[in-house]
Parts: sequence; C-alpha cells; structure tokens
Amino acid sequence: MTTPSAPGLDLDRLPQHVAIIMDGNGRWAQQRGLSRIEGHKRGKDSVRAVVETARRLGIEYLSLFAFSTENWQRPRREVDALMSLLSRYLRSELRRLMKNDIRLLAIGNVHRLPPALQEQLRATIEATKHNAHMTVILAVSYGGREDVVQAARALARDVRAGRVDPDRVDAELFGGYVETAGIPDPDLLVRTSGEMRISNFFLWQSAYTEIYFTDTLWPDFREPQFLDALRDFQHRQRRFGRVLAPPPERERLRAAR
Amino acid sequence: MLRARLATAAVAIPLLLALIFLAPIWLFAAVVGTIALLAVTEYATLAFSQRRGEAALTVVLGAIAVLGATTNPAGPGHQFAAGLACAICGGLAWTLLARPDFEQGLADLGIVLVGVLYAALLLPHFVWVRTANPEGPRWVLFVLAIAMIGDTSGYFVGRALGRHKLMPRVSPGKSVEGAIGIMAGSLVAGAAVKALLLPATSLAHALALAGIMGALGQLGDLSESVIKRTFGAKESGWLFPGHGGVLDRLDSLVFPVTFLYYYLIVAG
Repeated sequence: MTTPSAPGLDLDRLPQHVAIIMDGNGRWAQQRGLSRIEGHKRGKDSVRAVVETARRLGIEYLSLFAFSTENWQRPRREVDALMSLLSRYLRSELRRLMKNDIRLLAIGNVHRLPPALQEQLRATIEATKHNAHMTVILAVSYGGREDVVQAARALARDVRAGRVDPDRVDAELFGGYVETAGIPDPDLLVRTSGEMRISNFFLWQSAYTEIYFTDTLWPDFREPQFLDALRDFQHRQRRFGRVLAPPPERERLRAAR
Repeated sequence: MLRARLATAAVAIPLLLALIFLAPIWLFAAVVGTIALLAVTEYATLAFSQRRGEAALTVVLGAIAVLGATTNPAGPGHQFAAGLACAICGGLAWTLLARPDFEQGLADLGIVLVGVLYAALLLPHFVWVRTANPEGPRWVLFVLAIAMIGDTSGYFVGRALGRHKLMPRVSPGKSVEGAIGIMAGSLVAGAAVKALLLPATSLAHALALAGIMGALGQLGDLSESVIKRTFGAKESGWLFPGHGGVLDRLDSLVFPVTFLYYYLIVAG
C-alpha cells in the first residue's frame, strides 16, 4: 500500500464514516447515446476507485447506496443487468478485499435479491469478516424508512416480551435496532449527479451528517472528485447543534470585514 | 472534377450531419463499421490485385476485427481486443497452413495486417469519440470539419499558388503552399466549430487541437499515398465520383480522430 498523497487534505481529520449515494449512471450513458447498462458498468469502476482511495487514506467505514428498494421498479432488463454486475463485482473484488484487508457488510432487504446472488453475498461477507482495516457497507435494496420501521418492529417485540422497559427507550437504545447498529453514524454523505435529496437512504443515521452534493455523475466520480469532497468536508465546522468558542481565526477575519 | 466533387458533397453533408447528431449510436457504429469494411476491401483489392487468396484473407480478418471493434460503442473494450487477437492468430495460422513459402507468406501477412489495422483499429475511433463525452457528436464534427475544410482550402491554395513540391516521390500533386493552405483551413474550421458548438473549450485549446490535427491529417494523407504508390494505383477506388475511393476519403481523418479520442479521454 502506497503512502497517502492528497494535497490540501489533513489526514488526521478525515471522516470516520463516509456514505455515498451513487447516482447518475443512467444519465451518464444517455448523454453519450449508450445504453443505461453501460453506465452501470462504468459506475462499477468508480466503486473500485473510491474504495481503494478510502482504504489508502485510512477511512474506516464506507457505505455505498447501490440499489434502493424503489429501484426494483426499473425496467426488468436494467434490474437484471444490475444484479449480474453486482455478482460480477463480488466475484472480481473478493481477492482485492482480502488483499486490502477490507470487510464487506450488506444492509437492506438482501432476501429480495436472486438466491444465487444472496448466497454469493453471504459467502463474501463470511470470507471477509475478520478483515479489519476498513469496512465497506453495501446498501442493496435498502430504504431508510424501512430500516426505521423494522427497528421499531424489533423494539416493539422486545417491549412486548418484557426485555425492554418502554420508559428506557431513547435514541441510543433505538440506534441499536437499526441495521447499522454498532457502526458510527456517517460523518459525510456524498450524493453525485446534482440531485439534492436523501432519497430514503440513511434517514436515522444522517441526523448530523455533513452532506456534499456534486454535479459529477457517478461514472465520472473517481479519486480526484472524492478528494474534493473530503477537502470540502474539512472546511466545514461541525458543531452538532452546539456553539463552538472561540471561533477560528479565519471566521473572525471574515466577521471583521 | 470540381463539379463532381461539389455534387457529391451536396448530397453527403446533410446525410452526414443527420448521422452524427440524430442517428442512434448503434446506427452510427454500423455505418462506421460498413465504411471500415469497404476500406479494408478496397485495400485488399489494391494490395492483392492478382492474388485472390490474400485479398480474401484481408477482407475476412478485417471483417472479424471490425465487428469486434464496433460491437461495443462505449470504447475500445474486450470485444475490440478479441477481434484484433482473432485477426492476428488467424493470419498466422493461415501463413502456417496455406503458405508453403512461409518466409514470403509472413511478409505478405504484414501487408494484410496493415490493412486490417487501418480499418479495424483506427477507424472505430469515430464511434468512440462520439461516446467519449456528452459533446461527442460535436467533436466528431470537429474532426470532419477540420479535414474537409482543410483539404478544400489546401486544394484551392495549392492550385492557385503551388510552386514548391512537397513530397514528389510520394504524391506529385502536393505542394508546400497547399500544405500551408490545409493548415490555415484547419485552424479556421477548428475555430468555427468551437465558436458554434464547443463553448466549454477555450479558443487557444481548439486552435492547438486543430493545428495538431491538421498536421496529422496531412501525415495520414501522405501515408495513404505511400500505400497507393506501393501498389501502383493513382486513386484508391471509385466509390465517390470525383472524390476517389473510400481510402482517399478517409486518409486525412484517421490520424486526427485517433489522436482526438485519446486526448478527450486523458484531458477530458
């Protein structure tokens, strides 16, 4: 692994968890008169580039919103192609994941995937479960509301069974029921292709997440664009709703002007 | 000659614009593939006018490689590499099996493969330029405009002012003055397409590209003359009245379009 080189980036203040909504594959392809599937193929290369950059910089968690619960409504051919791309990705990436010591997790309605793909995903997760340098969380058929609802359902069951006292339910306890339990909330959420929505991704988890929107379409989002997002993140002041005092030099200068 | 040229152009240009800007990519790729097939056929006829075996081999290998190159319009991918690999393996196997005089056979295979590569490696860059970015069709026009306006201005400047022969052994009709005319026409064409269709590209950039492409176009033109000289023909074919054959039409396009594709990929 080469030493990180990223001009303008403070390697000690990197986000611990970056989540990405990978949007724009279809548009990228249509702009070029190509089939949408070709866009997804290029998007796969961006996944590889971003995972490797994150690993190189030492980002601990990377969540990728690959396929939402709503995406099942896309044309059959496109869904099939996406599934086969995911399958090919898993097959081709396993070696890299092992070499780079990356653990793979999946969240979402994994059981809606074709059975062979489910099995492949399960096997990849199993094979990489002891890898410790970084965790890649693949959100497949994931929906933020569904996640909160399933958490509420599980919590309600525990309450009914008498394992949880309703008066003790707070955000921290509830957070133990969402699918990302045990994983720190994302510090930075990136959405590509100019859309400015959360689109039912991490609703619970992104309460204090910095959000970065870019017009770049996902197939064009590679290392330089990822570094831009990280630099932008480092220029922000994260207060989590509090007031930080004293203001940094730069802020005071701006106020004096 | 000139009237025939103008008549061909009057039909061809609107069709060409429709093909570049309106046709779906598969149709565009199919047309480029067909032109590549015509080119390799014409090359085979030139190179092996007396030898049907080698001529047929050139066309067959060329067809395989062109098919590979144009099936995936997104760029030079695996299909493209597979097509070329088939052509080279097929050519070597043919030398082994069909040419007892294999020393001469191998030399002939070199000639075969130049034609195959010309058609299947260089020409498909038109398809890939069109899909290289959202402005792809405009860049295709950029290539065509530079070559066409460059050639036309070179033709008139050369006819009016041509005194000094450029490379008499290769192409006796070309003059230094004509070459300068081509460069001037290329720059004007590049600036015009930039002004009309490529607002995101700076003028300096467009002019630099047009200059390089004008020079590359002339290199390609003269290289095709080398092919014709070698095989003893004056015009490469008969397809377009007044314009010569397919190869004559493509000679000033293939080098620039190849250059432009990699430029767009690396710098875009």
